[in-house]
Amino acid sequence: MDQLINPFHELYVTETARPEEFVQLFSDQLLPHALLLFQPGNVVLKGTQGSGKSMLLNLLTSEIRLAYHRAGKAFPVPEKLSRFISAGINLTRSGILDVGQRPLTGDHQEDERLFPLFFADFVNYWIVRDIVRSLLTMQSHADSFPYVHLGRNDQFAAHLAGQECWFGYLGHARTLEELLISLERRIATYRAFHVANLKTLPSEIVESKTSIGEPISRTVECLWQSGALEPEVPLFVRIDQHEVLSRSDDLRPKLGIEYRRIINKALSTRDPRLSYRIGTRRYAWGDDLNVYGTELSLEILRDYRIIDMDQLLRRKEDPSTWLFPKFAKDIFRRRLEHAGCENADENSLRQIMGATPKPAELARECVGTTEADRALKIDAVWPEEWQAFIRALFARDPLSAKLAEGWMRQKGSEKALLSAPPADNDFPWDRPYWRKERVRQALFQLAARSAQRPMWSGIDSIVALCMGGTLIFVSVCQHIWDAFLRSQMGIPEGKRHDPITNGIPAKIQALGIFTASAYWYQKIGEQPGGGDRRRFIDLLGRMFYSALIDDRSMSYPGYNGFSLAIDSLERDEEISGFLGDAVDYGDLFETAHTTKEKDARQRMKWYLSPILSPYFRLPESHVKEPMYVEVATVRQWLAELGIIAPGLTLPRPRKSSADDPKQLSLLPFGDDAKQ
Amino acid sequence: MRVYRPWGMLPWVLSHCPTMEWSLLGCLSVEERCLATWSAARAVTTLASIYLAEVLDPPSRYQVVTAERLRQRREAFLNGGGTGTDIRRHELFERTGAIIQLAEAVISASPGNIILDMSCLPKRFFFPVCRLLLQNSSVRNLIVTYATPIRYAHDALAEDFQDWRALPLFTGNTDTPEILIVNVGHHAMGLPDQIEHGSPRMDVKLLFPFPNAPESYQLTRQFLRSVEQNLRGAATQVKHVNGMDVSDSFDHICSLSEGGGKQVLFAPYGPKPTSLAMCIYATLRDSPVFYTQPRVYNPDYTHGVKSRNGESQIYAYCLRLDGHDFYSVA
Repeated sequence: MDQLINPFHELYVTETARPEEFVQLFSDQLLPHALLLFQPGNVVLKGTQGSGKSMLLNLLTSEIRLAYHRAGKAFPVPEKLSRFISAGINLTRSGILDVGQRPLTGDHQEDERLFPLFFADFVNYWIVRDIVRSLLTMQSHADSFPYVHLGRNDQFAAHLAGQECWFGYLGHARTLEELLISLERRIATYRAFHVANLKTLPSEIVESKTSIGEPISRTVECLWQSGALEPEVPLFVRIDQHEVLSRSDDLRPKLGIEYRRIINKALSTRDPRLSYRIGTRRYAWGDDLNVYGTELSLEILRDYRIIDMDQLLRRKEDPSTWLFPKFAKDIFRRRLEHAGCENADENSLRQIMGATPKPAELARECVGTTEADRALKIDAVWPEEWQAFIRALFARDPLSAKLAEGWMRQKGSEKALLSAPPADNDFPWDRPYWRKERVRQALFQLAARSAQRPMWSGIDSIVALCMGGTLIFVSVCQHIWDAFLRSQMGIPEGKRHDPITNGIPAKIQALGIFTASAYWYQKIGEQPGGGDRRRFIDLLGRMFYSALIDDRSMSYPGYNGFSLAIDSLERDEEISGFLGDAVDYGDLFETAHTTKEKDARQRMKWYLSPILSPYFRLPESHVKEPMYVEVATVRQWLAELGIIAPGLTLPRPRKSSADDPKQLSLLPFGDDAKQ
Repeated sequence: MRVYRPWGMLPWVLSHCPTMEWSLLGCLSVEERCLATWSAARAVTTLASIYLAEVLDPPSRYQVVTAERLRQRREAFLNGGGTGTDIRRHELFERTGAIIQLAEAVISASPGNIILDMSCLPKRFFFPVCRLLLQNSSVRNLIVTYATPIRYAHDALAEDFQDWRALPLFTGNTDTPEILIVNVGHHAMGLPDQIEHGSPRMDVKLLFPFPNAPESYQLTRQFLRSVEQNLRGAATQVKHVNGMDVSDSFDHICSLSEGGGKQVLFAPYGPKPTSLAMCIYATLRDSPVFYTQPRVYNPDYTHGVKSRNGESQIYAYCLRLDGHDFYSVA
């Protein structure tokens, strides 16, 4: 491997890579947990940006399957599940959001009624065109797809064109070529209208609008009947970037909801011939499941199932069930191999990044030559014997001395504890839980008093900072490798440090991790709505830092997060929408937790995304109780930042009008009742 | 052979055009320069009609300051002899249909001679309007103007960027562009992330404004670095272009696209004149133009209008004169 190459240069390579690169870089570690994608039934694949949704959806395309065949590698899906055909639409890139941008009839109300119908028609034609394209791709490589057959195309085309669902638009098509031309002509006509090359939509389109999903079902049926596709081979329809329907300023809120309901209608048919695969951000799914034109709603499990990428990769109570570490090792190995490293294996990540140093080592590193009276705050009122004891302890174990200081501040009033310092093997601050909950806080306080930046390095720290985020992991590795390459500048080739055999030094890793953290902090502001969220994250970061550093008795080691009662939050759509967005974009991390209060109300807690921890100098681990706050407090934070104000509406996900929070405001409840 | 495409200072350009009446389409905005073209043009020619689009941003923490600045500009316009009916309000995220109506209204009220002042028009408006004017044969003369400010704000110029999305009328005719051409500006506005995440892989060409003021140079270098950081695996190429020379930028674009032989995706983040060159090319070739549209603009976006020999520095670019188009792709 070229020592000047950074194997992690391209962050998104697995999403936009050429098929051949995809085969090399795609990690199949998650596939056993995402096999629903290859089984009949609708699936919603949701997750934050960079969680790998598009990567998994890519596996459904015929181009990727062909690439596996060309590379002589087995398609990483069980054979019995790999017989399918797939087609898709990317809602951002297809131009479908242009539907609704131009008036159609001159009657505003009529236009609003018609737009969703044209949206559905556009989806139908786009998908059917993509099915035909996929079929042709598969037929041109029949050895890879033994369940598609040549010589039946025109029969299929004539049969499909004659279906009533087209209302005569395709009636003239007798060959597959003619059919494809007609499908493309329809899409081109929509485009011509949307870019103002046509004054009006031609009547032949207006009078032949198709019903969502129906032409797609008929297409599969005709493929089966004509023999172009073996019977029972399912169709998977990919709809990617579904979130644009709930977040786009280009789309009026009401129209966005109607478009989502059109997609919901497609799912609600539960047609055994085809299944939908919806790729979406976390919060863009689920707040409006109504089916277009009906009183019905989609039901989870009955109409669709969910694969939650974030949940899949996030750490569970039992760390042995955590998928991410193994996944990360596999990604790391594949990147090294792609960069030309011949001896990369599953241990490469550990070999190169090494083990995470023990807290006591980190503390020694952190304090350096700082003296005890500077690094600690030894109270003059403490007995001299204790003062001397802590100073002596600091000399050999700064972390233990710091914990002792905290323990003293908590227990100092108890006379018994002030009798004499304990023996070496009987430090009360070394009791497992007391120590475990405070060790990170102690480290950060030591670093602050010693004017040092806390250090993160080693495999465990890297994995913890990424918390299941694939893109974050690649980005952290990229920055570490960059820092390493910078450290080697000017060193002659033969004398350079070999990271593969000798690893990357911890200090260089720490530098890379910090720049990665700063990069992710900068990125917050570059996302939609990111300006507001970054100011909010700034406020939280500063507040948490002060809370942890100023808490000298270390009574509140969990104050790197805050908690809200769920019932109160649900009644404040604006705040819940804002926090939801912050989670959706990966700026915050949320989890339910058990309350410590007697009211037993269900609570949710929020932490900064762990990758932001180095930037804000906060521990990435979550221990003990977070700050308990009220919704009104969060509202006040946002108001102080100018994010919310009277008459100012947040650009949040559009929810159906059914849950108007104002309807409940006459019944004070929860936090609001306390005001 | 190089094509001669007339451009220069607005009074000079107008003095070389036959005497005729013009219609002006511009933008009433928070920036002082928004009225510069109006002031300069009416001093040397007759304006048959004026359409000042007052484009309102969605509510933000700046809304009070923004409203006050807009009131000041309106007052300056009225005190300078303008009439209130020349100002029409639009929302930033107006439907494409409304933007088309805007362009049609300007064309129908004009004698066929239009000055489009792009100085303060958001790209969401300027791109589709320019396209519609170019595509309309009843527009016999089309000049686009750009007033240069004294300086830009030191703080962020814009925030709250939307997802990477096509500008109205610029979805383009291809799903698979081969080249991405980026007009490098002061702020990447989420572009590096979006181009890698949201688009198929392609070669990246960066039009880097040069020469450039020192303070702008630093920002554009940062922009360049941030794009290159995400794209080091892709083939990238930096082209230095004069940010005020539309003709030169257009020729560079033609060259990069191999005379229109390659499908191009544009990302207009830099100087408006370079964006104008992109707009012209994209109109001619039906290329996609994608952008991360900000929802919020800094009310101190720019300060003042740069002057030259005692006159406002307003560049004017002739796109069409007497029905003759100066820009075409071979």
